[in-house]
Amino acid sequence: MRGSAPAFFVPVNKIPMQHSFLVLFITFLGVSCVQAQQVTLSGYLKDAQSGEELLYAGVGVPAISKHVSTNEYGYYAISLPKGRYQVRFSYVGYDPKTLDIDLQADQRLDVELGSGKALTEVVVSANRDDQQLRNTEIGVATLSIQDAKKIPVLFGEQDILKTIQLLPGVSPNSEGSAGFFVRGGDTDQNLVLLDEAPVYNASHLLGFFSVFNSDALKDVKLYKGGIPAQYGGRISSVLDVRMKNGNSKKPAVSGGIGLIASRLTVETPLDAAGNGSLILSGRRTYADLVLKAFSNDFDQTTLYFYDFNAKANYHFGEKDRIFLSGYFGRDVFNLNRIGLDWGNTTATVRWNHVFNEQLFSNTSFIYSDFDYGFGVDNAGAGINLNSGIFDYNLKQDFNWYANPKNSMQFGWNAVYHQFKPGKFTAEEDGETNQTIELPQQQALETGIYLDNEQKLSKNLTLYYGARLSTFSNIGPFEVKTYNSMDQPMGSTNYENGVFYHTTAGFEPRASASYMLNNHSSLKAGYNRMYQYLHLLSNSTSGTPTDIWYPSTPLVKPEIGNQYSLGYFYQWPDNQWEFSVETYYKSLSNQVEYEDGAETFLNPNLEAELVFGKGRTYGAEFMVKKNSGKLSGWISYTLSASERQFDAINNGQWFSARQDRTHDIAVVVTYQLAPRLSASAAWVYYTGDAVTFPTGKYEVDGEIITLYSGRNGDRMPDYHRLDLGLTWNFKSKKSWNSDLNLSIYNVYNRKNAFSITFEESATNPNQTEAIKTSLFGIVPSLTWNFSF
Amino acid sequence: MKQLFFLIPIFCLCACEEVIELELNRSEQRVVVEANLDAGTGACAVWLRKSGDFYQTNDFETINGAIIQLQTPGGTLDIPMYSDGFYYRENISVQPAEVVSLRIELPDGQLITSDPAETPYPVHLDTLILEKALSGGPGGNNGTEQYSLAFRWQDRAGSADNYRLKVFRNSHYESEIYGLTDDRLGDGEQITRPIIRNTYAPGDTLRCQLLSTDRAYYNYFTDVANSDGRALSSPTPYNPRTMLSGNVLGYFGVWYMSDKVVVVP
Repeated sequence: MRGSAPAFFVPVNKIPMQHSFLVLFITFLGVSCVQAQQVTLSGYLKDAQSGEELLYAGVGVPAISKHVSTNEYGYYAISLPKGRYQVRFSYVGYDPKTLDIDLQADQRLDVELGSGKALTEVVVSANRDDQQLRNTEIGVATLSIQDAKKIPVLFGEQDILKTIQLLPGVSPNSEGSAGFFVRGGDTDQNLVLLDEAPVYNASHLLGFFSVFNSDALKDVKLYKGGIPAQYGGRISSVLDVRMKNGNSKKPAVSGGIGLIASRLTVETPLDAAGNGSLILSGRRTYADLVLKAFSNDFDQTTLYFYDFNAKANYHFGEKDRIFLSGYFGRDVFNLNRIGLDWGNTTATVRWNHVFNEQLFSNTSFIYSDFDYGFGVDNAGAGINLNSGIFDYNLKQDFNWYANPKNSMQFGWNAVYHQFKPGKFTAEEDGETNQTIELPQQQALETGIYLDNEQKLSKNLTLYYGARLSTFSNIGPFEVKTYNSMDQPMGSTNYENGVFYHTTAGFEPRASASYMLNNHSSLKAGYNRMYQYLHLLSNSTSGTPTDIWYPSTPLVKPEIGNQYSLGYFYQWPDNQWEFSVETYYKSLSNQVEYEDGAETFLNPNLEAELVFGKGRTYGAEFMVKKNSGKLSGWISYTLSASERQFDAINNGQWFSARQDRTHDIAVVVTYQLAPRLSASAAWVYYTGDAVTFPTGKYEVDGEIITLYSGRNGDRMPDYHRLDLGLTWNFKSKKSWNSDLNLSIYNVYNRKNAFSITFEESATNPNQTEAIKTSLFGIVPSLTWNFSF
Repeated sequence: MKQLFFLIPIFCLCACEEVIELELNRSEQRVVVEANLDAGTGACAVWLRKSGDFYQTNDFETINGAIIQLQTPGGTLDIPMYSDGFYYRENISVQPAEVVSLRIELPDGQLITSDPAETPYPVHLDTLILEKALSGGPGGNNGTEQYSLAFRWQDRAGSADNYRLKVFRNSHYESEIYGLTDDRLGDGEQITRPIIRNTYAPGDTLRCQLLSTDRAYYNYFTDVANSDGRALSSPTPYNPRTMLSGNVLGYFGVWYMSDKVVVVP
């Protein structure tokens, strides 16, 4: 839900337009507040079996074309003139419920929806009923965790980050990768949130699995464009992942056993009245154990990851509720004398408070930590590297359902970041003989925002708002200046606690929805985003050793401006829908390492950076069937993503690696029999833009490849078909189980994971191109259970 | 990215590599300079070649008739052509911390100059360490007895020193090992550095060279190592940055060398 109020808006003189925006906002609000006497119906929408709140579910009064959604906590409020109404409650995969309500005063009404035949329907939904037609959201997709489990996946390990890659405008970093690009942006330009906590590295096993254990998740929402003002900090997208609260009605256990990983989740009510619940969920891979069974070569190999999710919540009366949630995951990778170890930790404490039927608030304290270690140990000599980033974040969000025409949201947050770019130690015979630690950096990132969704007429709805963000670097730190040769010219030392540099950004957001008729609508959107954190990487694929680096006096914040336009059509029975969205995004202050940057132990890292700009644009088409025996979608994206840096490619524009002109996904699920369902997913995309050699030469006995230009070549096009079969065993009392067979890359397409250039093994006097394909046909079997 | 290839057998036993024929663009031939001054022996060796097409054999066109001069504190010295594309002179005297530079005039009149290079300090390779390798993974023994190798030496205190480790196995130069390190983790300390990429079998004769190099030479080979994916992670490919002017490829380096020979038991 979107909404806002002016009380927390503090003008900053440096920011133009701000006063005029505030005046405009209040004018809009004032005009629309002149209403007849209203009463409000409010409450939570829940799953009838587990008591889980249903997020972004629909609540509407069709007779007067009044529709709202539950917020990210399942709370709704709808203001209406006094009277008798038929109110419809609906959510994807659940049987809708229509209640006859005589509304003469403010009324609290919690509603439970049951899942019936609809369970076999939608896989991924970009809407709830016809909400997508009516609301102002553009470039937004919501993922149903339950139904996404039917899509065939690599190694049978369900992964929401791979499922969203099947949506238009979203594509994988590389084969099998959990990393993703959104509308031509870079991977670090996606804000990934788990229960509001940022996850700085959302992948396991060097990117092949995400940190999200589907068993512990409730809802996923991806904002590709039209990002609401409550979100800030990344310029490409926001992926908002919400964990389950746990079953508040009865204890429940679920889990799965797969080829390389197993999962177990336990849920239980905290009291008999259903006032609270607890969920614990864990997952552990055992790829190394499987390998050892195949070959003695891996006797000394350790390779696994594990993660653990926990969440508890409790209602203290009707108005207050406390949530505690956390995630802890680590990867451990030791191969002979080389070791890598990295992981994320997040913790969130939240307090929901209902001031009255119209005003809902959430206050959160969030901790997030990402760290990694790298070590080499040989012949008694060792080198270790440790690095990381951690955050403390305090935030408050308010939903104010002001009147039938306006629902507002406002709030603030403050994040204290600490960056640990690197600590290196050299050991000899087990004793540390030298340590070098690059100076840590600290920063405070703040944001205040307000927005409003305003229904101007039966057919026209507006969303408008803004976010004001600031970023302050805090001492102690030595700020250096550099000459044109990238050599330090001078420096200024700042004491502990000194705010030595502050930058601010004004981020307007706006969108509009116009209903052309009952089945189609036109939408337009604009948003500006500021990004103050930058992932410095000299790798084409991303590794855990990439460094998160703050904006500084030299490194400016990245800025993204996105314009989008969309047409949405829904067939009368709501079974089929079609959408086309176009977008143009400009990117400022893009950051990269210069060619040959010295990134190891470099105290002058900023001197190795170059700055440029980017542009991405495209059109996304989607046809989707929401229900019936056969469901699924076809998506097609036509797009371009380009960059320009004065110091790269002679200053000429070049294609970003993720510039994939054509990107197609076809996803189908079919109910073959009451207990047997089949699924298929076919993907195709243009090969990545890459740099291939244009010649070679010899230096010091080695053949060196010669390059000209950046990303002027293409990898071969990528395509793949996956199939899945799920058999649901007959239920016995509360025991349910299913067996899932997934076949990844059914026609064994040898997609190029990389192309390298080496001297020929058979004729060392020749050089040749070597294509490496990572995955051939990969079958997998997973058994899932619950009771 | 090559580091990720370790994972290929882990994720899929049927992952594969195949040689493919790619249509590649061609770039103009560029001059390649390879110039070394061994400050210990006083020998200066310069190769002048040209780059070639990617799919040609590794026989590169040489450049004869160039005028090469080494500028030292003691004066300017000519480096005469010794054989096809190869220029050589001995008995050159330079001392640590002295600055030298190279000047090349090609037959077509093109002028190439190097940035001034500061002569490093000599180094002595104290010890070679052989340790039985663990099994499995890259550099593992793959079922046969193998040994890992490490170099140990004493760093000079108070100076920024750069090193390169070279290995000749049974007289064959292992050119894919760049072995670059410096003393930022151990100024004035005893330094031990392993050869990570390779292991060695019993009976192998290893000639190990420890070079103390000027910074630009070190940076150049760091670029070479990074640009072809041999670093920890592989960057977008690029041409290594050089200390030479004139849009040429290659390097000029000044170094001291200390070596030892060991037979793997």
